[in-house]
Amino acid sequence: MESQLYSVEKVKDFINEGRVLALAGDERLLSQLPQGAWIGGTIPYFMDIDKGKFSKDMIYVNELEDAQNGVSIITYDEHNIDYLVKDAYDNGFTLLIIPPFQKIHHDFALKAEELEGLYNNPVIGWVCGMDLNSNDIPYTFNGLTGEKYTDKAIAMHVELPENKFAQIEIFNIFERDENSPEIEFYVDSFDVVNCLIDGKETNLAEYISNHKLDIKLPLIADYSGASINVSIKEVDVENGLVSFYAPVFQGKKYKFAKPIDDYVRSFEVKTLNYNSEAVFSCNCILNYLYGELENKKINKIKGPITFGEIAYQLLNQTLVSLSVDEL
Amino acid sequence: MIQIPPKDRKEWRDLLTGQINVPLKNFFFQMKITQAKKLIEKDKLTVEDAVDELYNLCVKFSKAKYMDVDIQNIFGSNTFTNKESIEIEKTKENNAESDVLNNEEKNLINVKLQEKKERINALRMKEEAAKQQRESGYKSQIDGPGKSAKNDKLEQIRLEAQRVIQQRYEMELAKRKMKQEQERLKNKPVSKNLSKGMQDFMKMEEEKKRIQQRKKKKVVRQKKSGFGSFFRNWFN
Repeated sequence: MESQLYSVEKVKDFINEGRVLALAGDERLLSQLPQGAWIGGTIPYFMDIDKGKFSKDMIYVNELEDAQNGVSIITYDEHNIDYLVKDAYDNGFTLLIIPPFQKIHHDFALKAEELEGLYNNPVIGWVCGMDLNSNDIPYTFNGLTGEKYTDKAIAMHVELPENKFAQIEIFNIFERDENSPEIEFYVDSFDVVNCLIDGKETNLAEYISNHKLDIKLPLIADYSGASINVSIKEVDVENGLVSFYAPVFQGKKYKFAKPIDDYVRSFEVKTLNYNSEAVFSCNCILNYLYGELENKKINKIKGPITFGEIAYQLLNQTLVSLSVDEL
Repeated sequence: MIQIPPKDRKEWRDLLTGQINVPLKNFFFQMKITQAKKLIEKDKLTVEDAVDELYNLCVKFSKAKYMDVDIQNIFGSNTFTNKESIEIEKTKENNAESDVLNNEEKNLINVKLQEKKERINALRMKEEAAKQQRESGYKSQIDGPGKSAKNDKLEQIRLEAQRVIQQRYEMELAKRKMKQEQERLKNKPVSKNLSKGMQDFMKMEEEKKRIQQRKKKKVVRQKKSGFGSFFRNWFN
């Protein structure tokens, strides 16, 4: 089945046929669905097969066709998130949906890197969200039990046959600006007051304000060649506080991203190798908004637009994708 | 065929200890190495365990995108085919197992030898004690009862003097050791690192306090981000 937006009726049929599904859509639509082998999260923004769309009438469907050997759906909060990796199958992958800015979101983002066995199998997923011009509340859905949560994450652990393996790819349009100062932080945190800028203790909010830096550009850390973004949520000069959409980590060296002239063009170039057959993929709300992706088609990019992307750990302003291949 | 070199290749260790800094292309590899380095730095993982883990995962994901490019960049062309590499590892594991067996056999022999030595020593000591008893009985017979009592007192004084000398010697030794330890700690570079660690910890605590204070004080905000207001309620 092609991953794309479908009507509620169609999705009900898929569930009743016993298909294993990962869903994204408006809360009112997801709440109508029957119990079955599915997990879901709320969001009304999508990259559909033809273009970027805002929809509260359709549900985005990813069928996990490789989930023939085994599937388990588990709800996680801050008390059992440590078991996320242990609950996974020996060979497979985990698809995780987290509600934004709750304790589970915070804890997962800060702890993920130290989860034992995190890299044994891909952990991919997204942070659900809502219409930015509404008072809607983001929810995660456990299709198996029919329950929805504002404060719990839902994971679908999928077992793959021995002759298959799953792998994650990320697509990041940003690059570290080599002329940027080097920024180091004292503590793993979503908020920062002081930091070291080129080795000198500085208030980050003042620095950003004084240098008139573009806060649409993320900070980037180099993870052995992978550019990992941390996007700026808010700069509060009055209180000297900067907040991020993902945590910054002590011991990592960050730089500001190089400015981008043409967001869409950058996406087109960077996603040339995007695998349209990916089992699952999603892209960041900031990319969607800053890049004005609504009604635009970029290569064959598909999937829900998210408030945070998960590729082993929480990422920002990044497109993530999971594919399953033969060994 | 993708090539994963055996895990005793120096490059695995070098990669995890920062001796090799090759920009990698495979996402899993990039993230795993970064995580392992961090855990090694924090003393939460040994380099040996990290090499084991990394090697096994590289074998598991050997067909992942760019893995061949990364392996080639790290190890150069002097690599083995995957099958060969796995066979080499299996042979090594078998050898290691037989080494363990050999060591166990050696240990058993050593224990038995030690037991035998102890038995011989015990017999010797017994013989020595019997000999001394025989000799002292003979001496007291020659010297008579008065002389024997005088000899006993002299022996007691000699033993007491020996005990005091031994005590003083041990005290002197302990003092010297203490002094040496103090000197060692004074010159030990680790002590400087500890204070650096303490400084980092203090900075971290200060920053945590600052964040808490500022978050409380957030009454008037200068909004720079267009989306911050939407998420604020969720975040706090």
